[in-house]
Amino acid sequence: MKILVVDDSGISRKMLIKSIPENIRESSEILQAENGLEAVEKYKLEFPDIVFLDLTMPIMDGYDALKEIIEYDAGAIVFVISADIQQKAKERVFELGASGMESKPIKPEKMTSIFYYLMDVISKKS
Amino acid sequence: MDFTKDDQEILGELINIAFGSAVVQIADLFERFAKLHVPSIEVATTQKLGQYFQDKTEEEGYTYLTTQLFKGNFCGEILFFVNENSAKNILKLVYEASEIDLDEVDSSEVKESLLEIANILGASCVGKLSELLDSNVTFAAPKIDEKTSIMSIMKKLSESSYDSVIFVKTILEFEQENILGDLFILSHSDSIDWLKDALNTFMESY
Repeated sequence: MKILVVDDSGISRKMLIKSIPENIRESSEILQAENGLEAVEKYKLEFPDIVFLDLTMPIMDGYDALKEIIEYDAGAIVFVISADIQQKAKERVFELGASGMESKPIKPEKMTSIFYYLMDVISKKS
Repeated sequence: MDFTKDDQEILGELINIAFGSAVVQIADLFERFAKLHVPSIEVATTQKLGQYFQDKTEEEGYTYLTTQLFKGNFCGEILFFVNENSAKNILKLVYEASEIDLDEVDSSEVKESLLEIANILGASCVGKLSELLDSNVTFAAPKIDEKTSIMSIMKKLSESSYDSVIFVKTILEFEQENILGDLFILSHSDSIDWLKDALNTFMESY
């Protein structure tokens, strides 16, 4: 499995990657991007199975990146993880096609349940 | 002050999360959507804060400064500094007005509005930060200085026992009104040491 982790903060990417269940982390290829533009470019090159996307980033924010990824691949699985937990932010990311959204920080136990959910989304998709 | 680049980055991320929760409260209060910006974080000495205020008040002149004490494992004082334009934008949000002349608004109402925003921003930000670090803090009521002078700030800093400050520079971007507010968390070296340990413990949980 290919997983793309997008966040401008290196520490935040590290925290998120460490929270991925060990069996999945060790059997997956983890890709990283520091902003939305880099995420879109990596998506087009690598076609990751799952994208974890922050919203607040320089150069291109998560909303624009999400829009571009979904326009490029309507079946993309993009899970938003952000400090922005406004109801309108949630509505907007779901309108743009996100598969899910959770607030930061993501602890390992929360990530395990996110993966249960995402595996279900992937199996329904295939 | 022995605050490494990693410590600063972890703190930056946690303040980003904490600030996010503060912005949600303000956005909900005004029933507006706020675009979040990544706050810029820097841990420095209070001497640097003195220089910052000197530069700011020379550039912008008319300013407001709110202060709020907090106590706990992490303790100190929150300063929130806004210029005249941002103060006007806060008033526009509070009164749902398209234009505001600060001279025509009762000064007690201006102060009350700024205190409300400062209270939500500061207390949510520091409160959430403490919560993320498995601690908690209590807050005193915020106070406000109108038309703050550089002399009064310098005097306050020199009389205080604070030696460290966390600069949190950010923009609260609403659809029409931006609030450029600089938040400062003043603290003592022993409290900063606690913060460093708590940040390391937080990262160890991953």
